Amino acid sequence: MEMIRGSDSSLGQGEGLATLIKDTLLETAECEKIVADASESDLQASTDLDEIIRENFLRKTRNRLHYKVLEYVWKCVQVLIGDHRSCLSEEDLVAMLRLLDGLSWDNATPYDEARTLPHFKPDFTAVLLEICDQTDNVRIIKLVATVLSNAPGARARPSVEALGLAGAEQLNRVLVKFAVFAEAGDQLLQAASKQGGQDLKKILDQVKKSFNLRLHLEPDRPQRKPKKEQESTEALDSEKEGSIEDESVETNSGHDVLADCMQAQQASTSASGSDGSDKAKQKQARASSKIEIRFESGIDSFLQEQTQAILDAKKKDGQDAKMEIDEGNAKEDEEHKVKLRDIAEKIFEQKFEEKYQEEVKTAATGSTPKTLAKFKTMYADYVKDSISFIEANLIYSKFISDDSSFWLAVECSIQCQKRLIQKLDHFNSRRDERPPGARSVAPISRVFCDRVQNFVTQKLARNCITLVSSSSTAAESELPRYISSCVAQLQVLKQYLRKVKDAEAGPGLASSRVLQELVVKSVGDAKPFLLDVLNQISSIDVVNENGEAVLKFDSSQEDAD
Amino acid sequence: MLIREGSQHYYQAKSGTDAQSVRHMQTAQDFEALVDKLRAIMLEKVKFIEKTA
Repeated sequence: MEMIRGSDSSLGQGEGLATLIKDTLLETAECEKIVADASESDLQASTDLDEIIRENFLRKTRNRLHYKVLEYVWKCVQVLIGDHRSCLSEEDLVAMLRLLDGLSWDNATPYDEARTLPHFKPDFTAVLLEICDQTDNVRIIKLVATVLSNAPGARARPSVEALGLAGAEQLNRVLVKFAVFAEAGDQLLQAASKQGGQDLKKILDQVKKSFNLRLHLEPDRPQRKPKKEQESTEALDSEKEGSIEDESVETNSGHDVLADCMQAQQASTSASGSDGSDKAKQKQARASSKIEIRFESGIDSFLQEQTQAILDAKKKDGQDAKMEIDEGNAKEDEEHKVKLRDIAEKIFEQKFEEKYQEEVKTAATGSTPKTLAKFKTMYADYVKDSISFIEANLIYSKFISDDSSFWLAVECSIQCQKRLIQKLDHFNSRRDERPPGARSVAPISRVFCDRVQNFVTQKLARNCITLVSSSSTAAESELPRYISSCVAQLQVLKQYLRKVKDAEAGPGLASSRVLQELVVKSVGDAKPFLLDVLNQISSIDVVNENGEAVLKFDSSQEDAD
Repeated sequence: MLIREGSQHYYQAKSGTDAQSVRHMQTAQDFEALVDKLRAIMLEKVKFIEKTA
């Protein structure tokens, strides 16, 4: 597979496929230069490298080619990624995913995905899920979310039943990852909004300093719920409560819009800005049985410690099993890369033991001990969800380090939101269909569905407002980033509204309410801008009739998906 | 080959010297190189499958 990597010269080209795609077709170096010069250029609004590469490709290359050629390339790239991903470096994979992304957008309607391409094969969707599941690279997570959410057809949004048990578990891990990143972006935008985009370094310091991971390790409360339901409810409770807590950043109270919708959200975060914040936090901490993981010495040193501990444990296990380890094996052990998932598992086990230490000690007295093995058997889905949740948080907190990573995390968040919206049908359909007592194929629980639903109804519009408000106060050099993110966020909002069109009353009403706030109450310059853009980029019209916001859908367009 | 047959502007661009035509020819050549490479890889795969079948 040298041809893919780049050392091949058998074709007389002197360069490999990945290099050809990256340098010649996608013009990555040129686009990177555009991003670097974005603040100086009036023409280039976006600073999202992937978006610039896509637009450049659409403008300069894509529409010069016959669709059959594109279709051939589209299929071949899928085969290459599917069959040879082990030969591809991360950089090569990013280049191939960018090419897929460029191919999947329709250049005639740049805000919509292409409709003429053949659907992904189910196997390829599974490969993309596997890539996303195994990677710690935020750029790859972002690109997989982009490619999957833009891909035509239901195969890119497979049901858990179609994937089988292993595939379904993988899908759930990826969804948990997407959910964590989606919400992380919201936190970052709020933080940036509060600072007015003036000092991102300060924001990053605050976010990293205040990053705490909170776990809820009591899935078996005494309520007499059906076991499965109880388990899944608690699993997502833990996620909800364990979401990244940016204590230093209060929710912007100046936003009256969405006040009702955001009341619950504000209650959990705004306390930090008030005088009674400590009391409120202490009260909260007392009331809950959550366990906090603090990264006081910084996430990097925490991860180093954990990695070393795992390597030591592995080495020790090896010595116990075999009295003699030859040098080669020992070296291999040392070189073995500890993945963040291993660390996440270790954290979970550690915290579990800390919490139930006493019960384990007194197990001999006759009470049922909460041993980890037993717990894992009883609440397998809960444990898996929790570990995925910890892993995703570790990836996120490790990643945020400078300005560019901050904005890449925001971009990733937007793409993950888009992907979650694509899965909304799945979430909605799973809410009520499960027969009582039946074991579900996948551990995605009702609370998780509600949480995603809640997220999109409440936060999408709020994120738009945040971005619009921030862009008015942002430093000039940061303005393109805000505008770029804002447009992407509006695309997500538009996608959601299209989903709402045919959905049941619940989410539809919630969205109407959110948009009503947008229409009736004005927030600085946000209102006209949002309405204008919504009208321009979508077939959805929002009108104000007697003080009531009414969504008008143009049924003749677009939705023949 | 695929590009030449598929692109309706190819022959027009081939004789042109303006920026658009040059760009068009460049794109066509790049994609020909890409498609050649992809075909070579796919052929290799097919041969491998036939051998092992």
